[in-house]
Amino acid sequence: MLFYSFLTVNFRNGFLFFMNIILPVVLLLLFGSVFGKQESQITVAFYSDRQLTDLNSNWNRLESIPTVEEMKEMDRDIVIIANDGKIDVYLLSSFSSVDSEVTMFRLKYASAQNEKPIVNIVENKITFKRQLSDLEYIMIGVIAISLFSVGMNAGVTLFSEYVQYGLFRRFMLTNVNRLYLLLSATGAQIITGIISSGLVIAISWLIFKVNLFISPQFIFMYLFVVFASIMVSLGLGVVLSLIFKKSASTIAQILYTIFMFFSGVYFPITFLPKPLQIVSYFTPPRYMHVLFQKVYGIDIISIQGFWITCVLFIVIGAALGSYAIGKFLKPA
Amino acid sequence: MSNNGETGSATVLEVNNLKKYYPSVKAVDDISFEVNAGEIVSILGPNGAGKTTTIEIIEGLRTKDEGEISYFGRFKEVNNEVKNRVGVCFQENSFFEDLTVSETIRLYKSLYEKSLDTKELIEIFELEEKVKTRIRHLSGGQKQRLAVALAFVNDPDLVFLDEPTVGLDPHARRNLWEIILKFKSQGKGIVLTTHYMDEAQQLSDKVYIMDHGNIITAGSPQELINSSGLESVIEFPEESSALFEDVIIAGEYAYLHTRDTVSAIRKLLESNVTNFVVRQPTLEDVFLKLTGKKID
Repeated sequence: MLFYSFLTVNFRNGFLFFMNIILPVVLLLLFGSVFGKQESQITVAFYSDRQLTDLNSNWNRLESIPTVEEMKEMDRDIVIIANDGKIDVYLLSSFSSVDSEVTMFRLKYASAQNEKPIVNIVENKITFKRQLSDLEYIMIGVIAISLFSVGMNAGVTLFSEYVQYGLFRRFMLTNVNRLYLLLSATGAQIITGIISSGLVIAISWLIFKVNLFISPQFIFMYLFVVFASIMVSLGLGVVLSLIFKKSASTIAQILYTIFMFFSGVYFPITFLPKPLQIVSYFTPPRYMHVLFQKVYGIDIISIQGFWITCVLFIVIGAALGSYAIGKFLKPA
Repeated sequence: MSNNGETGSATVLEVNNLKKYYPSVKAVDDISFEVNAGEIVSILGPNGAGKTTTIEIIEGLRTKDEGEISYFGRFKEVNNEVKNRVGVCFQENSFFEDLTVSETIRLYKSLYEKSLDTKELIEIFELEEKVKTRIRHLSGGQKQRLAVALAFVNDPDLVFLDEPTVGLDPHARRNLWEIILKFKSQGKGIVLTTHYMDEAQQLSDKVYIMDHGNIITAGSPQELINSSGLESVIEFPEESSALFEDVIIAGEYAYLHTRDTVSAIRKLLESNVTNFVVRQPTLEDVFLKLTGKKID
């Protein structure tokens, strides 16, 4: 019932609902609409044994069929090889939806004069060290920052506002134990985080055609990152509550804004001046972003580093949360 | 309404020589009292008298420096069994504002081993129409009724009610008194702190008046009135207080306790003071006489 209460409050409280659910979607739409235009110009290289006309000017025509190694060097999202009625599509940027490009090419190829009909189309995924497109980078950033918001606001609400309003005093009179309280509070935030990030993933796909759906084999990693992200953010909320007490909520919003821009979540940190780049090392969303990139197959961190960071985040959050609950459930 | 009926005999709370000292003040200075099952005990005192500190120590919210507290004749500290058998209504109550009344009751029920039926509790406290209303949309009085309801949610044997009727209209106050008396009749020991002297007088079997961390007097309301030596009380505007030597001024009014009522009235009339009231002494007068302060 305590878990249900925390979860219910997350969706009924206007402020928490805005911060946890609405704001990530707003940021997603905002940044998506800005960077989405760039994304629509998917870079294509193609080889065709037929003469094609009226293709997009930024499509690069190849004179001969390239090898896979040559394709990797091309820095293109897709390479299309059309030869003898067969179309091979090589996806070098697997997150992007290239359906419209392939369809357009197929129509052009099929309608080329005096040629046989197309036999078939084969899509080939070339696996090598992937890089995120700008839009993918941002969408993953939105997920990271929304989880950060869910966790930090939970910490502040629990240990600043609820303490201030006397809810913890009320709990002290009952037999509720600190582990149950911690698990209920964090469990509710994790569910909220999964819903929030799921919403971002769904909207990314529906509106911007960015495929951030998690492959089944990475679901566990994804859930683990959600858990770790919530815990470390909750830990930060605890620290703010312990230091700033009544003004913790305000400080949290200031931090949220700072972290949004200086954690490298919405644009690469290298865009920032050097001194500000240092700030990013102290922002949890930066690391959360890295962990999520790993879930999406970007080798930005080793697998050992991934698990160590996750466990460290969970331990930090659990320790701080447990400490705070113990402190506030202790007689004065 | 009479409250001095039969009371149970089992002692549900016994406090002996309780002390809590802060660097600059003796908040609780060696006080002792007890509460029996089926008894309402009121603790009265001006602000800063030590009432809240005393109650919070007993509830386990504060530590004590010295003294002994015995719960239900068996336990010397607030353990899980004590928590299951104690109910509390704080002076300032807080809830999850976005839960409904029903959800809030179910939440608190879930935190105890035993509990009263949610529907029954809602009916007793007349919250039927607000069952699905979120707490933030309740009126002050409805919130207060819910807070008192939550004090009884675990069907406790010992209940602490800190200003339970504050913010209620007179009719609602009387209704709540009836509810409290009903729970008392079920054998629950109730500790009441209130600013309303009429409330304490109507409900209490025993009254403890505290000041400066001490219990300065104790007894049933009638015993305290009888032993105060007060015969009549004349209440008149404070600006005429110079007419008498031994008056107590509290707010805009002066209070004269006298056995010679006729002479005092004549003196007031001779001075053209006509807006006065003569009445029998109450618990409030006893309080005023002992502490020199009127509870605000």
